[in-house]
Amino acid sequence: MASSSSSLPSPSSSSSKKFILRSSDGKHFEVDEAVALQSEMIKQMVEDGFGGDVIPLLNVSSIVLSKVIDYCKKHVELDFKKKMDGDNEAHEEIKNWDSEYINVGVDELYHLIMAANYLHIKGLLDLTCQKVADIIKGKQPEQIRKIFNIENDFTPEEEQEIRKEHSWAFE
Amino acid sequence: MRASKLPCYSAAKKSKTWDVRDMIENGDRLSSLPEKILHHILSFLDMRYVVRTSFLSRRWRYLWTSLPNLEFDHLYFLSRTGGRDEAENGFMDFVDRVLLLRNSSDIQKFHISCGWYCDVNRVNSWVLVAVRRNVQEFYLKIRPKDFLELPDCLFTCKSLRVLKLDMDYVPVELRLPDSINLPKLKTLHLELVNLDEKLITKILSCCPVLETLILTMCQLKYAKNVIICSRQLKKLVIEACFMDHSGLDDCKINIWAPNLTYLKCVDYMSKEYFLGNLSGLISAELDMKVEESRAFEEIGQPPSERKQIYAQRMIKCLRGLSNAKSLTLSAYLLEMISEAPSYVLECLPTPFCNLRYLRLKTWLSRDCIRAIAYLLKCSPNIETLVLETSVKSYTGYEKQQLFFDECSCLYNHQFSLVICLVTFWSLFRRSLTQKSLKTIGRQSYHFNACCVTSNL
Repeated sequence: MASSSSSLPSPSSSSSKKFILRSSDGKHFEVDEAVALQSEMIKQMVEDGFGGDVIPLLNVSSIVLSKVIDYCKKHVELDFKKKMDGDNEAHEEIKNWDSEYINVGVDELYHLIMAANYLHIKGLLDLTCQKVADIIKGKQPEQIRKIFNIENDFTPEEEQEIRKEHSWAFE
Repeated sequence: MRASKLPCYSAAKKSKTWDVRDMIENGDRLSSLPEKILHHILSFLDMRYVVRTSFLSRRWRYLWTSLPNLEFDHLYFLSRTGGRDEAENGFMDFVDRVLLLRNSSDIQKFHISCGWYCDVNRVNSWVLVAVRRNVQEFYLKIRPKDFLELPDCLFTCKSLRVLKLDMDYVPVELRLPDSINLPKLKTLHLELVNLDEKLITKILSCCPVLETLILTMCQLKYAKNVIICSRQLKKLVIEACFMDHSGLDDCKINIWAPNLTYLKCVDYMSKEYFLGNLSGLISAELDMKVEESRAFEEIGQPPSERKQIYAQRMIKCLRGLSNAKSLTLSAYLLEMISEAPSYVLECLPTPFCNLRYLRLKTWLSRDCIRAIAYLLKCSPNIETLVLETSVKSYTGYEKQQLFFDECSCLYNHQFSLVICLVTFWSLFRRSLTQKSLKTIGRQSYHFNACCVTSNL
């Protein structure tokens, strides 16, 4: 029972229950129960009795799903470490790992947001939305439009009008 | 989707609305996200940046006017040219405008951080708006001059779940209305508030579902005997409450909370804690400190006598925590226990039967070893011991004695510590199934994690 390895005992021992998740493009992913239950949506499904065989995730492609599973796996591990090491050390590690993880392009960010929203993974949704907010913060509208490909669909008159209306926000 | 539902401005007339499919085709995936998610993104931004997003496109123009989470910080206005009071005025005008131009949807979170020159009357009107919009989470950081008196309706707000009041600089009095009724309040966080016994008792009796109470840097100036008695309280944090002006004059803090699962105390040992019924306790952190020696001189009590009183207090606290599964103790506490006479240590009749996880902050001074041994002896079911080492920050009344001096025959510090603890374990002949021992280095001492397993 006791492991003599120098790493911490893993929270997911071989005896734990496995779940199989099926992505929208039909690929199967086997994950530990604790990892799957990071998703409130899956948790709800399991509680409602759908946990038996394969859990179909219609809105998540295999590429995105594998990235989401990476997140869930790491956070199960880090939650466990948090218990062992106390909040401070674990907090630092979570922060570093998260910032590395979320260092992705705008498109990937969008897919992760959609997946986190669909699967109800609050931590991942916060992380991805925070990333978008960080990108927006302090930038001029023109810069933000360029990064996210937002089309300026105002007529020149409208733009003038908004400029007047919102002059107070730029004071 | 609902752009036409935002008629807040007179200019809300729309010639053309946006289409999600168009956006995705144009590669603008961000704008195609549901409003709920866009609001979530905006809630991570200060309102100053949020309002500016209305310039992006039609999709964004009125998005902010229904944002449920509002966050304002005066610091964003300080960087501009002009005086400090001018900046504060700019800040207050900004908040007024946002609240005026916002639509009438509910406010979930209202976070506002004001500066020195903030006009309390204007703050009060913001509070009224928030309460009328059924605010659930209210956070106010403010520097009132002598006292803070907020509108009565905040303290009878039916929707309020989280309330945090932070006086920012020095503790001031919080004037509460005679009648408080916060039927949904789950979390109350007071920072830098002058507390007296009555205030705490009143709050606890008027918040029937309060689960989390956090008191940070609060002053117990007029309190001699604080009673925190609550059946529903689950989490209690008392962080470095200010010392009384009367020096070491002891203040008593009674805690009776059978459903408390988490307790954290960061405080001076001059305060005497009475831990009553804490039968539901799972995790506790007792970060008790000793005042600087100056304080002792003022009161004219020799440290040795005081130390004995402190040791007795700490043992009494530990007795109150006997149900905990997880304990974190401060280096000062270990030091006090280590120096206590044996008859004081024998006062701990019940061992920590539930204790699985013990985290000790230590300077690794020679003296703390006795306390570590004592605690291990009292904890028959312990599974994890974490030693968090650091170097003592000096207050001058005692010289640091490194434990390592005594192990000079061993060159490797890390090794010597492990050897020492292995000795403890074999001494107490534990039949351990799975044990982990970790040391976490701070400052000059860096230990690697090491798991010591059944061979202990």
